[in-house]
Amino acid sequence: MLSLACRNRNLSPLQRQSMAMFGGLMLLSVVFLSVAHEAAEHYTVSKSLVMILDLLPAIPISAMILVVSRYLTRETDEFIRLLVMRSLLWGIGTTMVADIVLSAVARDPRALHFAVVYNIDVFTVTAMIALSLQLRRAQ
Amino acid sequence: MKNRLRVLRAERSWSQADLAERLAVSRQSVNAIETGRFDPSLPLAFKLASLFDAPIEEIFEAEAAEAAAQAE
Repeated sequence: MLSLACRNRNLSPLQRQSMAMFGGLMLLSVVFLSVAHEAAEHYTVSKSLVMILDLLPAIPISAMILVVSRYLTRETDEFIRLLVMRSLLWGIGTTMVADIVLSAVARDPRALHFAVVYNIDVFTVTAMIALSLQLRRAQ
Repeated sequence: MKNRLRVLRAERSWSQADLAERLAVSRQSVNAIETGRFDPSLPLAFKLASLFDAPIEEIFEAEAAEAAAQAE
């Protein structure tokens, strides 16, 4: 979905570059989460290594915040910046609601282990939908 | 905040895209300012004033000033 969005000719080079970086980091966080999950489930590894592997996804997620922050700093169009900020708020709000629903519904602890993946997905999809709807309204 | 952007633009036969290019913003920004859905920042307002060679108050009119003028 992000790679499709990157090909959108209406995007500025900065937007395209930021989306590509965000998508790459999102993928990396999923890889790290899967590695941590696999190691904990199928291999006998020390507790400290499990903890390190569990903490690894925090690196790309922190980098994602930096990518968004960098984009907002460099975006010269203040109206577009406002729309992006609003979309991010929609994304964060929806993610929090989805998180509450997931923690109430999920009884399997493995589902909660992947909550971060769901969170990133829900956040990204909601923010992108909110942004495209706002841009359409602004046409 | 009301503005005369559409009129000033029409006087110069500029499209929204033309004005957006001159201001280095998106066409959506110009549209949002024209329709009053978005109030530009001071730097952008000054840019508009310089582009149209007119003082800011000739382009933008605050609602309060408008109401005061009507009351008189």
